Amino acid sequence: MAKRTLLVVDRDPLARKLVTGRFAALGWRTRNAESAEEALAITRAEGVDVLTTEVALIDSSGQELVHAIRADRDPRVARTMVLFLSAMDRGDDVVDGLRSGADAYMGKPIDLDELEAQLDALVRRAGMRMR
Amino acid sequence: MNVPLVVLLALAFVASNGVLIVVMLIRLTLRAPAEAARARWRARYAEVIDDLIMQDREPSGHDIAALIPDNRRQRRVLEAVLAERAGLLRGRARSRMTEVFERTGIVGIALSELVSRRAWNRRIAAEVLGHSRSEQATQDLLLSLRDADDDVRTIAAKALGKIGAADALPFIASLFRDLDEDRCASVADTIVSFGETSHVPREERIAPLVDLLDDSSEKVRYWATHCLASLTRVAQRSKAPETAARLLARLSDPSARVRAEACRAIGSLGLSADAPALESGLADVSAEVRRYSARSLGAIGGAGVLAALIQAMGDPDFDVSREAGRALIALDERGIDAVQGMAGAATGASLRRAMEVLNVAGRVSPL
Repeated sequence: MAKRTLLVVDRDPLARKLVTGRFAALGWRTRNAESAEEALAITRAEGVDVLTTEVALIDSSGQELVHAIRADRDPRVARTMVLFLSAMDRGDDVVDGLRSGADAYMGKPIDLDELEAQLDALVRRAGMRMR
Repeated sequence: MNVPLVVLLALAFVASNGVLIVVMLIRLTLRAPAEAARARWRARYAEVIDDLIMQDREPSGHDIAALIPDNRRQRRVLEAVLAERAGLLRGRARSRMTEVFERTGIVGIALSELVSRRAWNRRIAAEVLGHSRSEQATQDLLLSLRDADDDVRTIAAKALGKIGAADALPFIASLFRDLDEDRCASVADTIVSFGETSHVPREERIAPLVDLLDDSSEKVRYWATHCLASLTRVAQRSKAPETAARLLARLSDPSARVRAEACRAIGSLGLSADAPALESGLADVSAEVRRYSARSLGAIGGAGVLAALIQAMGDPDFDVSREAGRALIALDERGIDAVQGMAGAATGASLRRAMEVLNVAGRVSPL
């Protein structure tokens, strides 16, 4: 089975390191980016199965990144599963994040077990969509 | 030989500056290797700890041996590396950080420094214990809530909040009595976010605050209602009327800021039976109380609040009027109709408010 690809978008280098490190150990192919522009470039060039993003990025917002992904002409990019992984996790933040087109929302601090379960669920859902 | 005083002073100035420059050069020379050593320790500790997190494994005896610091400077570096990761994580990975804090002796040393004669050491110790989330520290931190130093008490409260020691809540809430406003704000944040990651139920945070609502100190009543306003949104419904009854009594508090926070808290509870009491808040002398009354009435909703909010749209204070308009818009279609009706009939300031509210709501004015 081909390795699933995870792209972690976060301003915090430690968050990027720990999440990508954990999922690499679980057998995922991992990439990381600190800006929306970089994330979009990686998604378009390499294709990713799941993207996790913070709300506040160095060059724009996570919501704008999701809009750009969903509006992409390449259906493979537009279908990327997106999970917000953010320190902003009050009710309104979650509603805004999901309404922007994301598939799931998780608050920080990060529970790596919960994140693993969420990403597995997103990959399953993506597989069902493709059928 | 007589040397003029001005020359002597100039010489002294040059000499003292020379000494200062030499001291600074020595410090700079010594600092560079110390910084480099800190960077090396940091990299070494991070490598071991991050491996535990990424590989999701228990720290072995070998890991702990590699982490145990040889001196105070190394310990500070290890504390910082662990604190960064403990703040970012929860669940099993966070528990591993707590285990490392404990097994490397950091918790034990911090507990002994918690009774240091120097307040600075006690503050750092309380902070480290908070980062560790070690339950071993609960009893000692409880004692630190009676420390002579205001900062130590505040930091100890925060540490207990991170550990999620629910039994400490009444003692933490009682700090509102003797801390200044800034530190009270910090304690309030601690209570509101208390043990979020260890799932301390909000009801357990509410009870000690409700007990403070009748306190003789205005400051205590204010901070208790302030916390309740943030916590009552998801309060246990069965206990909501009981909490609301105590908050309603605060609507006649002599302090305007206590009345305002009480309005906010009652709105968060969302009990329709409280609407008439909040309507009386729309006639309060304080614009802040009227503003929060309007907002809370909007949150409670129901047919009964419509007339009161329409009347509040005519409040002489712009913020109150705007809040009433927003509450009406949020209410239902009848509220929107009411604001549109006002925009059609009003002139001057009232018209501007109605138009602004409709604009915010994305509605077209009838004009």
